[in-house]
Amino acid sequence: MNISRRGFLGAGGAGALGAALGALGLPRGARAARRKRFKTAETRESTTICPYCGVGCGLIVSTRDGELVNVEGDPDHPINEGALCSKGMSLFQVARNERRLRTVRYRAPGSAVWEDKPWDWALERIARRIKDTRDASFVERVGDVAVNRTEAVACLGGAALDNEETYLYCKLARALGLVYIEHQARI
Amino acid sequence: VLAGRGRELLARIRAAGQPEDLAVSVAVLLARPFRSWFGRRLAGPGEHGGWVGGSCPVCGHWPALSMISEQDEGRRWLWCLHCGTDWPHARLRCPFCDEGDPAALEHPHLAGDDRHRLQACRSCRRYVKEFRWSEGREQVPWDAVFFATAELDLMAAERGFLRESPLVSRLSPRASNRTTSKSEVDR
Repeated sequence: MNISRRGFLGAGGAGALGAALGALGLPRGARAARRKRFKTAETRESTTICPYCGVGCGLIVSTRDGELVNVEGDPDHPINEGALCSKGMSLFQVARNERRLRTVRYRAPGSAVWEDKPWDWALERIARRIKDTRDASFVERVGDVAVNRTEAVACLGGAALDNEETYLYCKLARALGLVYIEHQARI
Repeated sequence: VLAGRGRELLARIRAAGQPEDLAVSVAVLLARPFRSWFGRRLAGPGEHGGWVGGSCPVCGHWPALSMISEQDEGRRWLWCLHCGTDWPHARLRCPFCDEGDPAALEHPHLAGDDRHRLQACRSCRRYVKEFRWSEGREQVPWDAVFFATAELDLMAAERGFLRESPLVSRLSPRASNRTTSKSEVDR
């Protein structure tokens, strides 16, 4: 005797196919009786790259109603195959963390107290200090050679910066005349 | 004994006032031990020679369940209702139409239980039930999960997704399984 899958399907014909659409769930009558509105939620998953080091591990990020609910390694990513280091594994806490700083904190020289400051104030102050330091330490010539540089400011990039951000950062540093340009992720 | 007599059998079942769905379910489950034995002889419990397709590498049926193995770095395994084979598959990829855009895949679940959910594809409107599993792959109670998550099937119907018939196997090339093919749109 010989029952092929095709034969089995054919035997039932269209009626069986239609029935099969609902097969293995609940019988039709029961299904109609139990119909109700479900209270549901929806999780969206998207892939991204870990922002930390230059290894570039793949992540699957889950969000619900626009809120981050989970971060995990991407098992289909060729670099990390689902695994993450301890920093990558705790990425969730970067986005959702009650201890995360929400304003600029400033402690004046000689002071023992931290103050909350607005971003505008902080950016203004950082720019001022960079400009003053640069102007005070700027070297235009060494002997006969024009150098136009400052040796009093260093620039340190981080692997959390992406390619385009790093490009702009480096460009800014060169424009200011910095020569000590370093990066944290030397891979 | 029953070869070629499926139509007659179904007619008798209908005449007896029994639901066809039930008959088909029973037939599939009756055939399971044989198919399962055959599948193990053919393929064993491994990774099936790097098979990454959406349909069962042993018998060609569509998957009935999808399991995310937390012990195995979040890798995903699909399961065949017909022969009990499980095989690995990419996480954010529709097993039916090969849609790989995370934005086209929905993961709805019932409120309060996000470990059991659907992976529903907006491109082909089909879905597979998916769950997270924290123990070994050998301990998965596939059948229990399949029948205990019947509510997810109702929820999917409510949301307008279609269940691929468990009796249909994939006989045509993948691209033709899409209702709206991305590559066709691009062309």
